[in-house]
Amino acid sequence: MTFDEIYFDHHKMVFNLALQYVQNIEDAEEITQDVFLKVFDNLDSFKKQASLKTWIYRISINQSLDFIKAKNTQKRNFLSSIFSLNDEKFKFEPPNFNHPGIELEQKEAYQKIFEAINQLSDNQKTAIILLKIEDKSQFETAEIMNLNVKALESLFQRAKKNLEIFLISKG
Amino acid sequence: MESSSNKDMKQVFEQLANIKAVEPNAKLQTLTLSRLNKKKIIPLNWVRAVACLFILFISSEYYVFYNNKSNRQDVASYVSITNNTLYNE
Repeated sequence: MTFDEIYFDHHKMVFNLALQYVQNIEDAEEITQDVFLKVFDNLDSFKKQASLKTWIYRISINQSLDFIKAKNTQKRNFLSSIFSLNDEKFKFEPPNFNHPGIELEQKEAYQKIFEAINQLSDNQKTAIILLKIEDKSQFETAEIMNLNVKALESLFQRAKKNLEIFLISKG
Repeated sequence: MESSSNKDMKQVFEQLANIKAVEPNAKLQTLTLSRLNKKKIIPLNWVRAVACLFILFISSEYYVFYNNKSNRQDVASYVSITNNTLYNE
């Protein structure tokens, strides 16, 4: 399979997955580019223990989480240089909530939900995104996240509980 | 009977399931390929690293050469100087 074929088959999936993490087009495009650069670099070392799709899913998730971490670090460094903050916990807030998969009139409601999702831990966030937005089966999600189905189930229950708490706190 | 919080979460998950998948911008492929092509050119950092290694190699050769030279001079001081005349001459 050539790189062009891999790009053609998976770019939409990578872009949409990145969108669920960052909720704006510019960042999702940047993540998509980074993912395919990584795919290109590591294609020779790709071991066929997992399917190509699962492998690309994993790269996309890691790249999205790394992107968010880098943005949070930038923000922390900037703020701590001004206000001498060190231990403050920063959570990702997209600079502009611009999710093209959401209709304009429902934007506000979705923004609240995503603000709550962004408060979750990396694994909990990924479980919610894969199971509830990407509509992956428990088995597929467990494979992508390298977990067994039972562990995924309890992770999802914790994510659901925390999401509920964050949504209530947001009103 | 379903509790109200469960109902709320069900509604939230239904909303999430309704998010539509979108088609990325057609330019994205061109951008990705141009970044790939840039990457194929040897990065400047590698050029710098190789240049540093080369300078390090030349300096170590220079050091070893001059060190040997001074060593040779040290050894020379232990060798007795003879005037090349035979004793029975």
